[in-house]
Amino acid sequence: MPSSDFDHVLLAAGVEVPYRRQAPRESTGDLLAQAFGAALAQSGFSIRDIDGLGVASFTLAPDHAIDLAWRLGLSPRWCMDDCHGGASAINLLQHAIRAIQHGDANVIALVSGDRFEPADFRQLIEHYNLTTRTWLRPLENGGPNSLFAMLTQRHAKRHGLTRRDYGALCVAQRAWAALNPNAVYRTPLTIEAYLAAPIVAEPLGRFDCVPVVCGANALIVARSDLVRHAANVRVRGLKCQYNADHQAGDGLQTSLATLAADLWQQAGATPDDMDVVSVYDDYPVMSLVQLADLGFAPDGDLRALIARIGSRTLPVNTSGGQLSAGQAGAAGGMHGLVEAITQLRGAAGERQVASACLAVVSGYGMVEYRYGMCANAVVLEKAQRGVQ
Amino acid sequence: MTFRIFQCRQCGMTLFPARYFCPACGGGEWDERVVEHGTVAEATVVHHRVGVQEGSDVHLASVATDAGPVVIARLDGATQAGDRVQLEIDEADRILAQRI
Repeated sequence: MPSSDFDHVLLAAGVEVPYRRQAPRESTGDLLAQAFGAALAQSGFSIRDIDGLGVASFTLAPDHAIDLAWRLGLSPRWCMDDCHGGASAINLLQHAIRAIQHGDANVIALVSGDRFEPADFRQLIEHYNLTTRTWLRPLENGGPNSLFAMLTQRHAKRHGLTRRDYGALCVAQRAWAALNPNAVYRTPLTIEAYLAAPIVAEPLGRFDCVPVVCGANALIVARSDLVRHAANVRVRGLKCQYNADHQAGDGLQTSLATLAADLWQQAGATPDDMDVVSVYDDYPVMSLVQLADLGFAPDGDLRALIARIGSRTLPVNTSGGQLSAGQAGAAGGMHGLVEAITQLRGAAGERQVASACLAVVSGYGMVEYRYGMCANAVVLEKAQRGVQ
Repeated sequence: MTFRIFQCRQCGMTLFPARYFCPACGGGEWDERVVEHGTVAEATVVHHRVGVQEGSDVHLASVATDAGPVVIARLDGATQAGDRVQLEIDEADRILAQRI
């Protein structure tokens, strides 16, 4: 195999602490520690092997990554806080890979998660950044739902879509969620129930908005000659791009459109090669936008794309996605990555995609004023090498 | 109060909210420009907000200002795409739009 930009590094674990709708007794730190422990167990590494830690969380404050490292009993050589929301996991992974390739660390744990009481969530959405605090909170806009409601209107008008089309994505993801014992919503959703749900902000209804949950995810990234188990995942391509349009566009294209050609070239693959896809589904419209940006609708026919997702010809967000499995704050950026790793490890149980070898995962988020600033994507491949 | 957007002194780009440096040319000097009017691009009514009782709808719109930048504004009542609006800002930094 020719050398690639991602040689000598493997993903040795990807886990999720089951999401819960009600705030548990455990703190954010407790949930992150549980995710860390579960990832360590899956990877087979000892806690003494971990010499790097990266953390993404909105509610860990006043603690940071280094405080969590101390509580976990770690002496990291590489330690990183990440504040990129739905783009945090792939951002962390980008840095972790380079740290390992250059000898700054050998085995890195990346953890993300949040615990929200309703007041915590309100605090987060009202003070998401200075722009939100200064220009949106005074309008009592109720957080990002209103912004993505207007973005959905733009998208629907541009592509001639109706609520039923966006609803088809929610229905398809709920059907996947029925096969995921850890999804918070597993009851089958009909298009009629979707359309009849209370409107949150026109045209978004209840099922278009992710359920806020408490939970955590974790990954172990390791030097490939050190991995302990046979089932690992390698990175074939990874690209990030932030502020591609400086919030001066319409939000109907993310930075993924800018980076897609380089990503596929780096990965030596095409969208058609992908067995599993995870896109950041904070709203169904954003799933369609990211898929189109990545090249999954080269002819621009979004209805045909939606039909492929509904029929599972294209397996998208096979955990049920955040729309059915829940959005655990900053863990939302890692949820789809963990699902793709789970599929490539052949450990997805009832929802396992047969012979899954290649996956693409995108991250999206950090709404500055009208839509997200950040987008990134990673192409993953099932890896059996590196067995000790 | 009058609503103002920012214009790069070097290349003329207009934007809102303010930046330190111009994303188009890198210039760091700005002129404030008063904007009185705009056109509604999209509008929505927020029926449900976290931690707020039902029954207090909030009317919002994305308004393409006549100077270029799109802003999020609050309105007293219903509006729709294409409506012309007058823009102002109050002491709480709320950007308010009123149908003309």
